[in-house]
Amino acid sequence: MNLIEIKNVCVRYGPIEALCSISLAISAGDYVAIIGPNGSGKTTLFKAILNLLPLTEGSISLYGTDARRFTQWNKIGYVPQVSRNLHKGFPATVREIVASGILSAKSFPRMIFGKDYSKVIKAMETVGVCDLAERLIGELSGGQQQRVFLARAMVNDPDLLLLDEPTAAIDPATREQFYRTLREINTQFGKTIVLISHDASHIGHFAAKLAYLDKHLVFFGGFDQFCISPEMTRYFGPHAQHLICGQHCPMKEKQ
Amino acid sequence: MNTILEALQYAFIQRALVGGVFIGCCCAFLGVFLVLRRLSLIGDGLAHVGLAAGGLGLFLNTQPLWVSIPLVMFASLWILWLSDKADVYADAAIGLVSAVSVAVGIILASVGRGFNIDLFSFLFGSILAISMHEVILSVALSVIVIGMVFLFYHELFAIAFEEEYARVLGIPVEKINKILILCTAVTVSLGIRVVGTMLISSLIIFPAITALQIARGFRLAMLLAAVFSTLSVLIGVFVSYLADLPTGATIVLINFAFFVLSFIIKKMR
Repeated sequence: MNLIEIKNVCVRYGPIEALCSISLAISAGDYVAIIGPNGSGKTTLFKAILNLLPLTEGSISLYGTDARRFTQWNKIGYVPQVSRNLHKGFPATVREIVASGILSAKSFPRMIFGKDYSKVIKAMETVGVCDLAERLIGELSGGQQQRVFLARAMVNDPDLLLLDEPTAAIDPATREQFYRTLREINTQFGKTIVLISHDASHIGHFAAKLAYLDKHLVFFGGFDQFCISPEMTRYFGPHAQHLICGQHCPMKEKQ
Repeated sequence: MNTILEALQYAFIQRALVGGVFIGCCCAFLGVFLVLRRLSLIGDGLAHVGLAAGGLGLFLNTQPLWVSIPLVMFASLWILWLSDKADVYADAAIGLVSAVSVAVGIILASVGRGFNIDLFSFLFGSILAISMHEVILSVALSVIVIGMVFLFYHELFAIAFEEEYARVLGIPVEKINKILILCTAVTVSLGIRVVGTMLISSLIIFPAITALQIARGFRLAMLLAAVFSTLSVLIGVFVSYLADLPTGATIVLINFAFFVLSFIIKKMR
């Protein structure tokens, strides 16, 4: 089953074309990394999927329903970029932040009851932030904050996780650990993961598929094909994509 | 102590305390959300509208609150419309609406020379002169505002933390923003009676920023803001009565003292 189906999507900001003729299907259980240079439309694509901006052309369906009419947002967990959004002095505890994710499963009046907190604890346990429950969000490191936002995204036990540059604000060692956690969530819990990354050489070790975006979709497939694909060679010139993959195209570590 | 008990015998002190505490709690609860969303000066802008609306009420020889509450609510939606739909920055929209309102207030004051002294009470507040009718209206509206804050607490929290994420959660952000700004408009209209147009934003800002210095959790921040606001009103009314000082200004200075205290506590941790 396709959880996300994108058909001929174009998005314009006034005269500027941000996305052009994107068609892509993401199935249940996939682990897809969307990569591409700055300004290539990665975040715009996420916003389009999440119905945060209007499409100029095309359509997006989520779980078979047009995204504009989609209401079951509890089936989708979203992790935004940390650095872009966080108020350092915001007085909320980790528990309060994670609990706010439950709201997508509620309708008016949106109340959070005692039984909902068992979901909060479970989500915090899954990503290993239980010991941070009473800490203020602004006191945490970038890596810890990212785990908290992952717990918030997972609190409703969604089938699909969307992560926008989840490792942008964290050091390389923490990044590796974060990618491993995501892989476990994908393989052990069967969650579908779609994430945006700048870092093809690292994410390629973990994600099952890569989508290379530069306003249009240049490539969509496995990491091993990515490094030798004719589309990428045509796009970058001979061997140039190896600069993206690393000095040598590494074998995947998945198994 | 005897003087305080003696003061409590007076009906005008009782009315000031009841009205002030309820309005102060509204300001405190809303203030936490407004400060975190960097909208704290909206209180100032709406107070200017309240001044003009109060002037109009006096000019028409009606109860000023009956005129100022709907007009300030209308102005608050106008600010929201300017910043959302007309691509005017929020601070510029507040400035635009408040400037137009002050201009209207000045013209009304010059046309109806007889009510200039009453308008003075709008500038600096006159909670000790609050009538029973105004207390009842203030308590009723405060209960509605506080009820709305509790009813939409989780939505307001999510939007204050991250508006875009709140949209992804399926929260109707525009509707909640309207509710927040309309509640603020009602609270500002009532708060002008307590501390006046010149100081109303302090009633919104001070308890919130005082609580934010020391609170370790969002619910605690809301509770502390309400406690600081209530104490400021209670102490302010008594101190102003005992020392024969202007009540509104005394309440603001007590609020400031709490802020300094909480700042010191934060630094000593």
